[in-house]
Amino acid sequence: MLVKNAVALVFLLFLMSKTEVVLGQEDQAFPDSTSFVDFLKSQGEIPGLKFRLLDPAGQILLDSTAGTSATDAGMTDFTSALALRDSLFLSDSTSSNIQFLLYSEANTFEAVQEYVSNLLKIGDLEPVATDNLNGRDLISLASRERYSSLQSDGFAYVGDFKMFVVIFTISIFVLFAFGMILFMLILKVQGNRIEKLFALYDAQIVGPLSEILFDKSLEELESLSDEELNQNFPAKQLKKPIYVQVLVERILALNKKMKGDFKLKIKVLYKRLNLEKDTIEKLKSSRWDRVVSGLVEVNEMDLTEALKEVQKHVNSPNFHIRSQAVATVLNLSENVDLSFLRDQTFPLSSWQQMNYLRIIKYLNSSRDLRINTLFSSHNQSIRLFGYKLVRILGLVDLLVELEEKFVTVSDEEKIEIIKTFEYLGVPAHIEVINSSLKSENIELVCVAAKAAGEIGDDSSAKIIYEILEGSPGFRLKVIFLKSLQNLNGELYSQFINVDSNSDLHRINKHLSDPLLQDV
Amino acid sequence: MKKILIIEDDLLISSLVQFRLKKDGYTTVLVKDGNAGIIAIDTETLDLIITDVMIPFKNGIEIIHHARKTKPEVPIIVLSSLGEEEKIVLEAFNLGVADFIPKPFNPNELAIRVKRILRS
Repeated sequence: MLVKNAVALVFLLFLMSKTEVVLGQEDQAFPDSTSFVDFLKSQGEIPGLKFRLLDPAGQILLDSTAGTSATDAGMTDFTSALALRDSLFLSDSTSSNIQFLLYSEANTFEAVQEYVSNLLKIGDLEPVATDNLNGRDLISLASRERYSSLQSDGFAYVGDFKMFVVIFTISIFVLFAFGMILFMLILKVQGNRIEKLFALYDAQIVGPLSEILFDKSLEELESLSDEELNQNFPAKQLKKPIYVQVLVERILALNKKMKGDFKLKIKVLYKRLNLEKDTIEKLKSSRWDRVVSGLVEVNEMDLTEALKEVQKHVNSPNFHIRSQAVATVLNLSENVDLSFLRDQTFPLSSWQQMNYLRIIKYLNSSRDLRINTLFSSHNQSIRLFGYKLVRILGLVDLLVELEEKFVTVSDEEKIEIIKTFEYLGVPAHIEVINSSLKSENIELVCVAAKAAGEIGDDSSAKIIYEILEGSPGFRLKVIFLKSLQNLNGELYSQFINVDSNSDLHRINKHLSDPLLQDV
Repeated sequence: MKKILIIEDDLLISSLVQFRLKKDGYTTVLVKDGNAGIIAIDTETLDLIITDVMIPFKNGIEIIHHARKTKPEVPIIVLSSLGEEEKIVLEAFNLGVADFIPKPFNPNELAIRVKRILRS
């Protein structure tokens, strides 16, 4: 849009440069009849214009067009015509009128005025300069003068302030556009150069990497001298950042796709090439993407010596750094519990929970992670994650702790704890579920009713019956009736038969239908 | 000398497999995409095909279909990521591939399987 406007503006400027007529400059040559008469007096002869005198009856008194008349020469001049008219009047009191002739044809005063104006405009008539001009005459003459700019050609538009601003803005725009194009070209050239280097180094690395991994055993790789190593990976090349980057990427890719002793060989080679120093340097970078790639390298290459540096990032404000740092610490630390996760101040996203769960699930069988430390976190999302871990990992021994916490926690956490009780199917904690059935929070009541239906007892059935007698909303009614049906069939039938509410019969029909009851 | 066609777009994996198979004395033909794979199947005399599933232009299943039509006697080994759909793996087996090796894999294990298939 901006480009389109700029093009239109440039085109307009071009048109303006090609024409001498500028809008707003066409002023009236003669603002009134007096000024025109004054002009005729001062101008003298005007091409194509003549005058003659008519008597009141319209008869020609003296025709300036008649070649024989003595006054003929004087009648091409308006002053002469006026003088003649006056002399006739003075000599024999003959009154007469001046008739205007344009190329021998009689015309009105207005037509003649327009004719003369046009002559002035097109430049066929040069106004005669008068010597004794006062200030008013000067203004009058100036108003008759056609506008033309003081400077000519290229400077004409720059002399106008508004035009100067427009030209300046366009110039800045054009310069900026050129600058941008130049900048993009430089970036593109640099990008192409880097791409070419990537391809070149890739070709240089793939062969030696395959060879060294197949030819050398794990022990041989560990005891490889620098000279032997540099035969495959020249020391000169290892000083080049792009070469190192390609090498690291290739080693990481290989580590992901290989298994068995190859993985061990890859890790040994990584350290023998001193690539871990670069990795640790990346962890100290101010750029988040470099830190994340450093964390990935630490994680993939099992660089336990970098753990101290990694732990500095577990509560980083950057989501990617934080997620990767936590995953790395969990993966690599032999003696770590979850206290570092407990102290996180940022909420856990669903993706982070899924990612950490995958690692914790794997580690839980071999390490004491002390998952209950998460229950005392100041961060609610961490506490909720802790409850979910209890549920998913089946940590029944932590249910007592959850029951103790139940009274003090928010409704959201109560919901998660009740879901955990229901999932693990431990009826010992039914008291907390029963207490939630009378809550004012509908979501909590729904979850509690559902859990009561699964692991509740007679006391739960009684509470549900009492609530149903109070006619709760339709959604609650459905859940309560379903739970009551599960807990105590007799009580359920009794309630359905006593109440003739049509809603109840519809729900009963739905719950009793083997095809619909799970819908 | 037995000739093996390797269809794999990952340069590092293909060069590793090639390197390992050459060590065992096999001749290898390496191509990076499905179209080149089809051409190689049509023009080369092959003893074994090793193909990835996710490759440019034509996927591994299309390669297997083509190989089954034109060279039904050549055994095929499929190399693929574990994350790939079970449906694809089952389809590959239904088409009669000789073996399926999930990534990550050990090139030595691949070499043993190649030897076993070519011997039989």
